[in-house]
Amino acid sequence: MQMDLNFIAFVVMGLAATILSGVMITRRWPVSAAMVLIAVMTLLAGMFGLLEAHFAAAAQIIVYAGAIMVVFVFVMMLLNLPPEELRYGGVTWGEMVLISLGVLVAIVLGTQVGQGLLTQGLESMGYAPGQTPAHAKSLYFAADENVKNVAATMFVDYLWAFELVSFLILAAVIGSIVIAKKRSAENANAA
Amino acid sequence: MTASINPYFPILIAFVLGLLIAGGATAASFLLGPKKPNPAKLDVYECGVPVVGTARQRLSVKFYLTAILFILFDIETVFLYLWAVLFDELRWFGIIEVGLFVGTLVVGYIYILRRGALNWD
Amino acid sequence: MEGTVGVVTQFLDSNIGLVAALGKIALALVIALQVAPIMVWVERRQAAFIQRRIGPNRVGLFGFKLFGLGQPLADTIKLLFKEDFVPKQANKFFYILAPIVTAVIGLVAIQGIPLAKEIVVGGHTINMQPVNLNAGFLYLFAMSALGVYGVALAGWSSNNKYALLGGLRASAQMISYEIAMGLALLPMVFIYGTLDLQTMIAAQSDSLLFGVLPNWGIFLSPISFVIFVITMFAETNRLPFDLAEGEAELVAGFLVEYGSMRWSLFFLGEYAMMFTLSALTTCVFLGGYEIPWLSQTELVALLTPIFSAEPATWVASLIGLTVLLAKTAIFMFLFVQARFTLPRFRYDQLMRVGWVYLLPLALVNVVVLALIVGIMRLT
Repeated sequence: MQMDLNFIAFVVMGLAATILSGVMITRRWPVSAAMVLIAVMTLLAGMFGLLEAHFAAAAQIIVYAGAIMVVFVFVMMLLNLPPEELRYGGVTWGEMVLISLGVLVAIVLGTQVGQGLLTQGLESMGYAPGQTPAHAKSLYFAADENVKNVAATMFVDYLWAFELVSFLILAAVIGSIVIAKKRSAENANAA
Repeated sequence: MTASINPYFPILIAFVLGLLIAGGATAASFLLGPKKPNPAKLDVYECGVPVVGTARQRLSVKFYLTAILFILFDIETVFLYLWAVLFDELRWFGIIEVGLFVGTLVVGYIYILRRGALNWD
Repeated sequence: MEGTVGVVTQFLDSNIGLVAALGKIALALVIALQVAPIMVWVERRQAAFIQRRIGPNRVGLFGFKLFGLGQPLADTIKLLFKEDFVPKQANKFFYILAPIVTAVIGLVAIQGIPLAKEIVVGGHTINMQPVNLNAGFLYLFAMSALGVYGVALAGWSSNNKYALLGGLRASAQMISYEIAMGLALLPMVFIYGTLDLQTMIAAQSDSLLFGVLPNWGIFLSPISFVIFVITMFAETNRLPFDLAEGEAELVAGFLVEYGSMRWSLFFLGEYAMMFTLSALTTCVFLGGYEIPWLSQTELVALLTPIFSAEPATWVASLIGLTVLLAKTAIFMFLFVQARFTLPRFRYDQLMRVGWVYLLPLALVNVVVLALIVGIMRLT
């Protein structure tokens, strides 16, 4: 972890993403929360890029920030619920427990104990100390050809998963049409 | 010797510069323009007639369906791009595997067409 | 004097990456910022010619009317001095943010275009593409995917029925055509074997058909070209796909509550996106900055005897940039011509074209080209 520009940028992005996530859950308007989440996704993509996972960075923006968040934004704009109808008042005990659990996990991961656990896990998978997955083990192409490496890994190691994804997408297509058609049969709204 | 900085750094620079330009234009307009607020000017525009109802109404579910189908086909496109970069290495095996992938999705697409999910009227 | 020059060159030498990046970004931004005024002039004058009248001819300098070239400058000054208001019912933060988002995304997207091949400065070879990622032109897709938000945000934050509807419709239209756009460019990836635009342009300087045609994408896969050009019109909300911002249908769609500089920021973003997509078309289909049958390396070799080795690359890059701008101008002009010639699509027709006609056509195109290239290359 040398103290160079990449590291500083990574830390700044990480902090910004964490803070913005906190900001997101305290927004009054759902659309504001969605916009903040888009910013968080973009920061995550930047962090992927700094970790040299270039394809993941591009895919994060194209698919997550550019497609999934569009669904979020559309749904919120379609429902158009004003904040008054959404407020339920206060944080419940269950939510307090969850938030403290999250903070606890973050602290643990940040300390030596957490780092030790992580590096142990990486070493057991075959990475030398200090190596990131971009530079390690059996890469099919040179380390800086990230897109080709991802593609090769997907088509050679994870071929079954790739084919099953197509069925997953098919199920999603059918499911979403069934849900949407049922809804629009129940209440006919004008466009 | 070639230059080598992190390739994402220019994006950051461009973003900051773009923000300065756009923000500067907005600020300049804010500073240079007259300020004469007038209730009629600031009211909702509805072709000059008084407003009927609020803008917060429920709209068609077709937008939602379009967006969901967009996600699914976008994911498909991303996977196809992964195949395309390795076209020569994967040779016919790759073409057949991707053909199966696309075939399954074509079944889904035909379902969409038959169900009329994309009929926007 | 000698000392400072030495210090400056030393600084430039050790930070050449940063300096080069700044220079390239500045160049791309200058181009982007000039596109909007020039296009405004072209649009108004071309509209006039198509409609059998003269264009703007009132603005002039020292009595020279200059074919109305002063008009964009006058427009900008006027817009700058107009009242900057926020409608009382609008969500103030997002109302101000939306045009900035659109403009910034347009200005950032243009950085992915390779402006020339490379220049050699002081022994350093600088690739003339401001943003050159491993993911290649997926960067441009990412930017156009994010471009949807400017429109949606503008529509929602205006808190106006027309704006919301227009914004949602425009966003739905943009995402519908993005799939066809991605699938249209897919065959070019496996035909040229790379995602990187510079490599793609270099591959297009070979020739096809025994030297008759250059190895351009438009000859290798014309259907891709046609689909991409159509989706390009839909992505930028230009006629014949501009129902969401069309004057007669939805007042001004998502722009209805915007005036003065905010409005012009939207158009800055829109024109920058038009330019980016047009430039992408030329890079992928028309050989980018390369002159047909004369690759950049040959050009540099030709110029080296006249200038010396390094200035030869600068001149070659300048020629390349001019060629790129000329080819892009063809598509920008096409945008303008289409706007004043074609009638507007109705919204359901628009969506049907995107999902029912273009998507299967693009998919079939991918399959057919995969089979053809497979048979030609792999057997």
